Parts: sequence; structure tokens; C-alpha cells
Amino acid sequence: MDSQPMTSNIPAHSNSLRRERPVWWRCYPLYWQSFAQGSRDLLRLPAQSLPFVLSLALMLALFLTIASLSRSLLVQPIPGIDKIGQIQLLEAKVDIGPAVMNIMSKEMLPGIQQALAGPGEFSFLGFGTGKLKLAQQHDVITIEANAGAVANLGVPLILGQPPIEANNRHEVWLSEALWQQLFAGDPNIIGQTLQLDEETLTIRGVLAHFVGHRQAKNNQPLQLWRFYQLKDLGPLKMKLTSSSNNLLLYRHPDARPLDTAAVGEWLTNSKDTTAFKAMFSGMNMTPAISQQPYLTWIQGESATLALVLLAVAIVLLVITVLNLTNLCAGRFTSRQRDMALQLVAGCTIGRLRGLLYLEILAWTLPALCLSVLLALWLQRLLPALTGNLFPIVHHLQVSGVDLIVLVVVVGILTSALSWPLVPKSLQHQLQPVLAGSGKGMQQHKGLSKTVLFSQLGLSAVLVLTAASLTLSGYQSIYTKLGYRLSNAEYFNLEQSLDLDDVVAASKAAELNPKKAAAEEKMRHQAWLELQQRLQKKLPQHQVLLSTGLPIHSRFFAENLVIPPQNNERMVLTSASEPSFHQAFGMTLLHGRWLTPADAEAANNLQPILINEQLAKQIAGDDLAAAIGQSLTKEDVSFQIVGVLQDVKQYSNTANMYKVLRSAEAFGDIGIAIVSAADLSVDRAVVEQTIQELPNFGAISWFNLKEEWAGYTKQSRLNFYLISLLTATSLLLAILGIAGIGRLHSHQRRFELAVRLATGARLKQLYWLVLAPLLPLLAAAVLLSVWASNQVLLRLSVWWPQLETLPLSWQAGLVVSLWTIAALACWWPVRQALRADPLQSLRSL
Amino acid sequence: MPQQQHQTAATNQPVVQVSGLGKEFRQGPIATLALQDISFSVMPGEFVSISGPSGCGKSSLLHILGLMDGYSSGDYLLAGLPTKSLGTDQRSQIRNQHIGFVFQAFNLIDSMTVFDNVALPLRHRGLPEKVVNEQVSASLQQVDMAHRLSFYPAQLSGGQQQRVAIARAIVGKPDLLLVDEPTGNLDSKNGDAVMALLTQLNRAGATIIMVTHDSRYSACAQRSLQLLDGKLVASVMREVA
Repeated sequence: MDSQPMTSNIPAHSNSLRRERPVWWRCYPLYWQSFAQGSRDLLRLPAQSLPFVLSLALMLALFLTIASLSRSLLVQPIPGIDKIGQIQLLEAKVDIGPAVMNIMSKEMLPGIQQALAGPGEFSFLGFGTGKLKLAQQHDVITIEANAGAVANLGVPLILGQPPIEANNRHEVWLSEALWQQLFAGDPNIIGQTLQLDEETLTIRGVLAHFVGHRQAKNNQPLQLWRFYQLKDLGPLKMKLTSSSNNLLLYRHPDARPLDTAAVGEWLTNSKDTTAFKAMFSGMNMTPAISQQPYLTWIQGESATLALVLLAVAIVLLVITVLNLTNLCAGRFTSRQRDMALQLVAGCTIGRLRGLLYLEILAWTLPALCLSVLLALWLQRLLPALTGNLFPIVHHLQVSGVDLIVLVVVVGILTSALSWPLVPKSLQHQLQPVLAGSGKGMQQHKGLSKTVLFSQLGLSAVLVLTAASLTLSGYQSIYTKLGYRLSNAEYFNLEQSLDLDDVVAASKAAELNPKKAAAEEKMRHQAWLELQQRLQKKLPQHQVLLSTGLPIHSRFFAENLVIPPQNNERMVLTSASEPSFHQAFGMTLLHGRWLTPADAEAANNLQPILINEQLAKQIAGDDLAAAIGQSLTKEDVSFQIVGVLQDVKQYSNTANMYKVLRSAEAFGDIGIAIVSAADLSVDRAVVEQTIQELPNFGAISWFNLKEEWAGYTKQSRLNFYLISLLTATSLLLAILGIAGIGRLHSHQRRFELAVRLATGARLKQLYWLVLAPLLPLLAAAVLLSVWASNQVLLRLSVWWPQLETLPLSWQAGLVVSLWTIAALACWWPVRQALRADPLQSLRSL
Repeated sequence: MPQQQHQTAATNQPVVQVSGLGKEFRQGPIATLALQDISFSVMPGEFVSISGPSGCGKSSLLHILGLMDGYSSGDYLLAGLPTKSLGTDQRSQIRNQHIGFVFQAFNLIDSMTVFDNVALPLRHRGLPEKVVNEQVSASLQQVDMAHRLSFYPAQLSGGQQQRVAIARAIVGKPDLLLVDEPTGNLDSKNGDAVMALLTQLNRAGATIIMVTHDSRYSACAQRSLQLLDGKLVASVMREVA
């Protein structure tokens, strides 16, 4: 018998009670019990645990994938290369009107280096392609660089010797992937030779995979590095070609940007650049040196997309958590008594929270593991699925940092799930449960209403915002193209005239323009012959001579004098048969179409069509006023007869459409074959026809839909992703709302059963359950209209073309969302009211 | 049956001292007085029953005494300690160390074994598992349920479940045992057995306050408090054999 006086057991001061509190870890059996209970329920209650684990895993995988993508892209876009912030990308830009071209070439490097003697280091990387001959032939990426580039950028050396200035062009370094895949990681490979494009090269080392270019095609894993010495470089070449595959990088140890003024000085005043400058000054163009952080260039527009996607992923995760909170509320409603008993037995609120946390953790942990597996799978799947179409996904790399972030997120989510389930005290809620009189009592009423409101509100914001985004995206991708996305093939050919004839013709052209015209006529005749033969063989298709398709990856530009200021500007030009524009469904806004008679018009008054952009430059907002005005080029004058709607590819560029004339230069011509929607061109027939004619060489094919796909790939990625995420959020919200409807009707089943048993009409019961929920749904949807307009306002800073939806659309969407939400609430109530009231009462 | 040790009446200080206690439930503008001006005290080792018609406030009073609910007016001293200003965690602490509960509906946790149910208060105290094992075994032996320690509640009869519930209530050697209609869900045979057990515990030194509406069982107590419409209308002392 314990004879200790009782009063000594109850301390008279509350502080001493605190000191008596056991250390939390000494209660470990309770924590273990909770975790074990959760694990048992995971298997015992698949109807609850499967939706919980799968939905959380999917959303976590989505979050992890997008977060990894964003981190890779925003923080470390080039794995293995640190201090990327110190590197600047240098470009020599020339404004040619329709576009700004980077004409940076490796031949510029010695001059720039000389102009900038200092602690900074330059790296020049030229990306190209080559064919590597082993047992089979492999397409590889070739990277030509100066010897210091590897050390300067910090590309890790895996095997062999680092490249040095003394290396020659016949030595090669393999990428790690190429070494592993094609040479099975043979460590004795150093000193062996390989064949690249007929050249024999000696292997000197293996470097890590380099993903330092913005275009995914240049970041392919099979790479071969070759190094050149500055002294081997020739004089600065005169050429006006885009060098988007060339990177000139400058790294200063103190991250100082380059002194572009000094480089500009070199470009302007050095005698090395005289010939180079002369070429541009003849075209009224001045190259200018500009620089930007390498990181910014690598990120490009994808950075904005990544941030938006990350925001959407977080919202989706929140909606999922709200759903799961509801699921947990439903699950723990039946466990109220257990919680009450824990409290009665002396459990503190904090510890009870910990116990519930562990019980829910037993469900979130499998979701976490599953999500990591899914994300790793997506990391491999997405680049394989999209190929080079969407470079952004090539940046995807789930790292340890991402996993730590995920674990923290899961910890917080578990906490968020368990937090609202714990009662503040034993009072009110739990006493009736302990007394066994809590039948049909509504638990977590406030919680479920908060969940309902936030869930619908958030997803309505997402849906309304995304509706604007998808509408703008849809129009720009599919409807407001300025042409019909028809079945159309295009090809151009090499005309293999005899070399001596061509040389003779070229020389003659300088001395005798008539001979040159005759040469052109010869070419023209050959093309007309080909066109006629093809039209005969393909009677159901339209065969048209043209310099290209309505959108085309190659384009031609001319310097023209443009009214009203008579300034010289570059204009994109195309020449085609008069029926070309109608055949492709281009839209005439003002004036008339071109006609066959226009081909015979005088040389100093050639009729042309122009696009909206050029019309705006000429006549401001009154586009029709541009008709009748003339553009000039030396002794040729072009008269505007019509204005066409902008073609999406060139929406910000000035375009001019000429009629193909017999005097036109036919070196750039090709044939477009336009087919009905259900027909396609048999390329074999075309190629066979070409072979029947002399003087035609290799054929290059283009396809309108492929060109469209190339130009719209980023927009389509945005469009698909946003549509997918929006649909997901709406689906999640519907499931969540249905879950709340189910919970409400389930908790009130006793009351409903009693009312049914006493003769209540179904309509009254529907109203009873739904009445408190419907105004909440309406408030959530209305609030989301305001919120989505605010979000769109912020997003329009990034995407100026973004427009808010018309009011009628917004109203329609609001009503639709409310109706969908109301139906989602109504369905489970209907199911609950189908039960036999007496059966329900017996089961309670 | 081995005897469980309990705190004994070694002092003149009441375990429970209630004076002018009132409890008001308010729902919007409507206020309901569940308890009015209740005053009584319970000395260590005493067995007190509280009885009265349904809705008279018996369970409300028991919940207040068990620190499961607060009160609106008056004072309640638990072993001399004012309880009005105690925080939630302090109440939990005191319940864990000094109060044991037995409910009409047994209220065992279905997902736990008999052993785990009984061990619950000790584990919340953070006692080593060895001590927990010893005390749980002793407690289960005291209620004659030691042979069922790995059973789940659903595998036990009502009487057995109530005996496990009593084992859980006494396992921490509480100073005060609060018992709410312990026989309400039992047949007379099991009810008698449970009452015999409670009487035995009281004889071993346990202070018991029991709510019951069954006059047969209230007679087991040394004193019976009669409630009517939230007021204490009578306090009857009995000679118990």
C-alpha cells in the first residue's frame, strides 16, 4: 500500500505540473502505435487509402517534376558548371529589319581578345553535327572550341588529358555518354582513332556531357569536342548568316561584365575588320556588340513558363491537400472517440497532434516514395517523348536538393492534414462522443466549409485564368494564323547545271545582263515544265510555284524605301503565283488579290500585297490608306494593291508578297503542293517526275504542318500544359466537393433517416443538406472572378498578348463552374437519400 | 485477487471540494443552466454516488470533476488545487496522474489490444515499458482479465470490456476514480460483478465518485448525492457493510 498523502501528488502550483511533463520521446510506444495503426489502415481500408496515396503521389510527382525543372532551369541550368553567374554571352548583332541576327564567328575571337587584355577568359563554342563511323554510323554533335574553353567553363574531365593550346584539329574528346554508349566505357580508349565525316581523329580524352546550349538539339548526349588554336584562324569572314549555333562566352573572375565599348571600338576602327564592315555598310547595316548573362540566355522564355507552372503546381497541390483534409476529416470522424479517450487518459493536445501526424504520415510516406519513382520515370520519359520539340524538358533533373524540398513539403502537408483534426479541448465536441450520445452529430463543420470554399475558389481562379490563357493560346496556335493549316508540301531543288556553264553565265552576267536574264529564263522554263508535269500527275492537288510556304523556316529579305518617310527598311519578301495566297486561305483585309495579269505589269509598277505590319508602318491605323502607295528598290517600284492579315510567324515583321515573274531569280524557287484535307501527296511520284527531267539535283522537302509545329512548339507546350493542369484542378475540385457533400450527408444520416422515417419529402432533405453549401459555392466562384482578373493583370506583364475573357464568357464560366460544383455536391446527397431510412437508423 | 495499491486517506484535506458550482450552456441567445449552486466535498477513500433523473446534470457534474469540462461559477478544488485557471495541458496532466475514468459505454479503443488499452495512461506518463508491463499485468489481474491481454475489445463480452475499462482507470493508481453509469450497458450479473469490483477497490483505499440512476448500486456507496434540475437536493449518508 502506498501511504503517501494524496495532496503531495497534486502540486499546488501549475509550474510544477510543467516540470512533471514527461519527455516526449519517452512516450515512443504511443507514437509507434499510431504509426502502426496508420500502416494497418493503409492495407485495411483501401477504399480510403488508395485515393489518398495515389492522388497525393500524383500531385507530389507533378510538383517534384515541375520544381526540379524550375530549379534546374533557374538555378543551375548546366549541371556540373558552377559560378555560371560569372559568365556573359557576347553577340554581334545586325538588325536586318525582320529579325536581329547574331553574326558572331570564331574569327572574331582573336580581335576581341586583343581589344580586351585583362583577367577575363573567353570561350568560343561552335555547335555542329557530324557522322561518326564505327560498326554503324551515328549522328553526333560536334563542338568546336578554343583550347581554354573547357577549363574556363569548368566542364569536368572524366578520362585522359585536358585539352591544351598545343592540341591539333585531328585530336578529339568524347562526351561521357558517347564513351559509355559507343565504346562501352573502355578505359583504354585514349590514343585510339575514329572516323568523323571522312576525317581520322585521335581520341585524347572524355569530358562530361555538356548541355550549355539553349537548343535541345545541341545538347544531345553523343558529343565530340575538337579544339583549334587561335593562330590557325583565318581572317574575319564576310558573311550574313545567323550563327545561333555559335557561343562566345566571357568569364571574369569577379563576374564583371565585358567592356563592350572597347570591343565596339575594335569593330569600328581596327583594320582587321575593314572588309567585314564594308560588306555591312553596303547594306546600310552596322553590327553591334551586345552582351547578356549566359544564365539569362540559357533560361530564355522558359524561365517565365517554369515559374507559372510552379505556381500552378503549388495551387494544385493545395487543392489536393484540401481534398485529403476532407478525406481525413471523414476518416477521423469515426475515430473521435479514440481521440477523446486519449485526451481522457492524459494525452495533451500537442501530443495528440503528434499521434495523428504519425498516423497520417503512414499514408503520406508511401505517397512520397511513389511520387519520387514517378518523377524519376517522368525525368526519363518526357525528353524521350518530346525529343527536340520542347527543350525545356531536357533541363529536368531530379536532384538531392529537390528530394529534400519534397520531404519538407510532405512533412508540412502531413502537419497541415493532421492539424485541423485535433479538437482544441475535450469540451463540446468530445463529451457527447464519450457519453455515446453523438449520433449523427456533424463534426468538423467549419473545417469542411473552409475546405469547400478554398477548394472551389482556388480551382475557379485557376480555371478562369487558364481559360484566358488557353483562349489566347488557342487563337494564336489554331485560329488566328493568317493562313489555313492545310495539307501542303513544298520542295526546292538543286539545279545541277554544268559548272562551266554556270561560271560562264556568272561572268557573263556581270558583263552582259541579257545573258543572265537568258540563264534565268532557262531555269524558269525548267520549273514550268516540272510544274506542268506534276499537275498532270497530281490532278487533285494544286501545284504552285513559290519561294516558300506561308510560314517557312527560310525566308528572304530585301532593303526597300518605304513611305511616308521614304526610309530604307528590310522587308521580308516572297514571290509566288497569283493564286498562291487564296490557295492557302490567307485573308485579304483591304484591296484586291493578285491576278495573272499582274505578272506582266511594267517593271517599275509591280503590283504587290503587303501584310498588316507593313501597312501600319506606311499608313498608321488606316490600313486601307496604304493601297496605291509604292515601295521602291533602285529602279524597281512596287505598288500596293492589297493588305493581307498578318501571318502568325511574322506577326511583328513587315512582309511583301510579289507575283512570280519570268524575270524573277529562279534560284530560290520551289513548288508548293496544296491538297484537300483528306488527301496527301505521294512524295515518290514527285521525286520520280523530277528524275525524268534533266538539270535537277537533290530535293529538300518541307511540310506546312511541320513548319507550323516548329513555330508553335513553345505556345503549344504552354497551351497543353495549362489546359492539362486546369482540367486536373477542376477534376480535383469536383472530387473534393463531392467528398464534402458525401461527408455532410454521411454525418447527418441519422437526422436524414429520422426525417425520412417521419415523412419528410426528398426535396426538403436535399435542400436541408445543400442549402448551407450552395451560397458558399457561389461566393467562392464570384470571388475567384476578381482574383483571376488580378492574376491575369500580373501575367500580362510577361505575356502582353494575353487578354481577359469577354464578360459574357466570364459569366458563362461562372455559371458553369457553380453548376458543376452544385452537381458535385448534389450527387452524394442523392446517393445517401436512396438508403432505406429504417435500415439507416438500425445501422447507427 | 491481488490488491492494487491506492492513495489512502492520510490527510484531512478533501479530494474534491466543490462550492457554489454552476454550469451554464449557451447557444446563441438561449442559456440553459445545467448545474446551479452545487456544494459538497469528498474525503479521501470515500465512495460517493450521484443519482437523479435523466437530464438532471449528473454527467455534466462528473465531467467537471474529471476536468473534462469547465464551469461557469463557483469553485472546484481538487485536493486543494484550484482548477478554474488550469490550462488544457495541465488538465490533461492531472487527469493522467490523478484521475481514472470508467464510462457507461466502456470506451475502449477498438484498434488496440486489451494490454494497449490498459497501458494507455502509463504510456502517456512516459514510463519505461518494463514498469508499464508490470503495472498493466497487476491491474488486469486485479480485474481478473490477465488471460485476455492480447485480445481486442470486439472479442470480449460487455462485462469483460467494462472490467478492462476499470483496469485502465486504476492502472495509474489514481487518487480519484470517476465512474459514469458503469452498469448501464450490462446485464444484472455482469453489473453486480462490476459493482463488487468497485466496492473492493474502494475498500483498498480508492476514492470513487459514481454516477448511477440504479438505486441498488447507489446503495453500495457510503454517501449518495441527489440531483434534481441541476441542483443538489439531498446528501444521504449510508452505513455500508
